[in-house]
Amino acid sequence: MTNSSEDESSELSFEQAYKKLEQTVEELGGGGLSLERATVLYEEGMKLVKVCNQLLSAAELRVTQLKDSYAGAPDSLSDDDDEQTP
Amino acid sequence: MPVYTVSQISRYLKESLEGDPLLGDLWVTGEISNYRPAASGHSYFTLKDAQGQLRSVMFKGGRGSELLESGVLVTAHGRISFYEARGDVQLIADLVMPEGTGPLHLQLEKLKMQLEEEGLFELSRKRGLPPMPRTIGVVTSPTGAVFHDICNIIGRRFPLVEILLAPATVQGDNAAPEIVAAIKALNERSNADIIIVTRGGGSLEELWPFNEEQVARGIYGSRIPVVSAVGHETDFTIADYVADLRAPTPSAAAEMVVPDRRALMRDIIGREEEMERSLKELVSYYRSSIDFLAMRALQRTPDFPTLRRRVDDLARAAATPLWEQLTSLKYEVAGFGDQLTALDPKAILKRGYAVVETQPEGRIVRSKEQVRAGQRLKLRVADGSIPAVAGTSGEAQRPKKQPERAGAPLI
Repeated sequence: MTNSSEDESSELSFEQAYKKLEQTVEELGGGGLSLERATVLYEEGMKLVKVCNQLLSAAELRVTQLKDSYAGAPDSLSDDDDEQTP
Repeated sequence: MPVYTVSQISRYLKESLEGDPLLGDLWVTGEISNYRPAASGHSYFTLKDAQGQLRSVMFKGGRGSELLESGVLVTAHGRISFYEARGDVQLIADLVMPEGTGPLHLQLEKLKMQLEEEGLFELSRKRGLPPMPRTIGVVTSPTGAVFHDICNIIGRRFPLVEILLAPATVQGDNAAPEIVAAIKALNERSNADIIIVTRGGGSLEELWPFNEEQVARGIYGSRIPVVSAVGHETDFTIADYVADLRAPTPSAAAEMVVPDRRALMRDIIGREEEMERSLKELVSYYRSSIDFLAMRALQRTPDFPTLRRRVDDLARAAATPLWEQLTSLKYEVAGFGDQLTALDPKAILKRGYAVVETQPEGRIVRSKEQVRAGQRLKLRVADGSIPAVAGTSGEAQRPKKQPERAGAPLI
């Protein structure tokens, strides 16, 4: 069970992990919890903190280009430059 | 030879003038004279030059009405109309610019006015940006420094995204249709969460594609929120007015579309601390509940098995390995068990206390009022009980006494 939840959290996107973390923190702060539930939440929350930090530090920007031409003159795409004057 | 009535000719003049394509949409330059603002908010004036005069009116809400003043040279946009009741030809002006404004600027102001009236700039239709986009579409020149800068900034701030370039020429005649096609392609063929439409600084002519109507409509029609970043901070284009958000520069756009990784890391630390705080509060809440139960246990017949089970549960929960950072709390919780053990009557008796009961009723003596002189008593001690009788001296006898002291004078 611990393994499956670890697998689950390692597949989360940052956005998902962060959102879950927010929810966990909120639930934990809401009070009225049993200590068992609080412990589970705390454990989950700490796992999410780890996932978020890992995702944030390990990420590398991906840069891609839309494939196929969609404009009338695809060749002109490459010979234009912002700083160039007409 | 036909003879016409005045109204027939008036009607004919009106239709001729107002059906003329040139007269229906024209710019006229001249000097304002005889300026008369009316209470209704409309403004009446005459435009004149050395050879001619043209009666003019600007209705309430016309753009540039603040420029109206006799003696001022202006260029006015509007249409010619024929007022049949008075036989007057007049210019109905909807836009007034200072005389000498260049033709591109005039065109720009007119388009701006039309698109605004059409609702393309409505603030109410501007969409917020998703706080954590996954894919950012960028419509710009693939070779310019702008795209490079945007990648650098986003890569530094929030490298968890994918940047998807939709290349487009950003100046010249091809630019507007290519920008429109790129926005359309991103909408149809990508899962971009945000589109940045951008180019670096340049002359008004170079920035012109971003002032074209087709680009305005392309941005307006985008399902994906659009951030415009055209030229420098001081450059405003029509694309900026239509876009969901205008960034003053391309670099600023890059900063606006993604969160800052360092701020997020600080935020995560804050949440971690918050979780610890919540847990501590919860533990101290439970601890005070236990204290309360323990007090009640002292006052009433205690249900020790239940209490101890509860404490054991708490202690077990506290012993979960993940509580590494809360070791001290764990010990506190475990300590409750000891405290309760200390409250067990047998343990108390072992420490030298006695429980005094009246005989033959067997009531526990809690107050001196329960005992009269000669009352038979039973003193329970750890290993058994001692029979006793209450003395007659006026001195109060405490119901709980250490056996050796309580026993000696009474027996």
